Amino acid sequence: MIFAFHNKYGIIFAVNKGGIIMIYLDYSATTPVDNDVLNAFCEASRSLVGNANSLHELGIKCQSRILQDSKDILKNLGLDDKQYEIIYTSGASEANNLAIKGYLERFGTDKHIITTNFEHPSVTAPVGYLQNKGYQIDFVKINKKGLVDLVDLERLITDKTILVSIVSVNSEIGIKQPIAEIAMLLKKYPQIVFHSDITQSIGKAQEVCANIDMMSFSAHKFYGVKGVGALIKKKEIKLIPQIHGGTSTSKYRSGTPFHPLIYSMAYALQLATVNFDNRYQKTKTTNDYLVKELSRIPQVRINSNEYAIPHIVNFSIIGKNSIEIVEYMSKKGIYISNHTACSSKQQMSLAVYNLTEDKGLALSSVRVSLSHLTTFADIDALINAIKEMVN
Amino acid sequence: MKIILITAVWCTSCLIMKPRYQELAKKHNITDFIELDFDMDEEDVESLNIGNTLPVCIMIKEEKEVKRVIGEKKVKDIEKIFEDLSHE
Repeated sequence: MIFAFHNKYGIIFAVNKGGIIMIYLDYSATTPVDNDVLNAFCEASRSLVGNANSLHELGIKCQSRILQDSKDILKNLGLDDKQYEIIYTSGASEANNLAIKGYLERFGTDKHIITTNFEHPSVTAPVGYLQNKGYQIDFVKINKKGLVDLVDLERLITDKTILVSIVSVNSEIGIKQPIAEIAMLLKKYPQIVFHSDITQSIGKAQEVCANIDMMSFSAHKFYGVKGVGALIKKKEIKLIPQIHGGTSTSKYRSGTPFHPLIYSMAYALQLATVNFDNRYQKTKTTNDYLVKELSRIPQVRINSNEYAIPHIVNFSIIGKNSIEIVEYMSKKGIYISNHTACSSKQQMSLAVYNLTEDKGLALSSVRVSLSHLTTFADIDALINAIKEMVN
Repeated sequence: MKIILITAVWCTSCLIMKPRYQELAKKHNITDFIELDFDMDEEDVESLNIGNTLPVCIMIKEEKEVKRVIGEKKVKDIEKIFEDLSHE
């Protein structure tokens, strides 16, 4: 059993059964819930006992709470609540499925989708599902720096193109796409809805959301509780619900409104927004130190580049297999990932392969993901473990 | 010729290669074209020992495997494989 918690000073105490200190460097897979956020969830669970769909006073109280939370979330993302609405989901995977399948299935199978080969599987898989149904799919080219080729994007657009889905930050390498530029380009094509999975950028990069038509995210990536996320969309966009059962907080997603989770997510986002600069700078400092130390090890190749957010450092250890590296580190009490936690069946990192076109690098790549909670001592422990492994 | 194509919906290379294989199978009048899903057809896929890279295209002639194409390939490269096997 592993015990881990995040106290009010922002320090993680993590020990296993044997009392060994754990070093958590997998913040892009999930973050430890902030104690204040967890308290907010517990408090809302205790105090708001009604069902937000009920017509009585308790229900109305819950409904009002959700309305206020939605306003707060939109405000923190710089979005206008007259233009956008929120569909609460179990997380980003559900939100991505709802955005992609829910939008495309309103139209015939002659329609066309453009996406990238840098997406999370919860975007690629619904796109693949739609391809099996007969929809046309194209992948926009990624340049040598890992950025979407805007000329190729425009070349791929046809009169049948109705959805473009591009991730804001790739979860394995951390490269941030020029989302605002892409949104501006797509504005020329009014028949196209632009969807972006902003899961890895929320709270980590200053994202300009204003021209995105639909965006998905999960709370647990920014110190929220697991099991809640959202799809934010422009009000005029209609979707086919993926969960039917009557109107809830939105007609596009049925089920009893989970207002304590929604409240805790709004609160986690508020903290991420207020503390953005401070958290970003701390992470940047540890990132600089990590990159400097990794560069000194001859067997290491860093795959993340200058377009990556400081929270993600992807690198390969020549001659080692990524699973072998993760297992070795795990035995030392250091937790990193070989690639995105949601596609563990494939050994090779597709993102690293798509960027480098080098199978060796893709097979030996690992992702270290940092946070404002990461210390120099954590980095030293990782560097020492790598040195031990390669020697 | 018989073809078994193994893909997964979450694999971008599979999404790129699948229409290419379907097109070539049509062009070469290959009607015995079996598509397996890496996750949903787990038992059938397991028996084919395909390893960890997708997609996998297995070409079979007279009950014998004659070629296995793994991963993302250029159209002209798989076109050549189809043509060579058709003329054998």
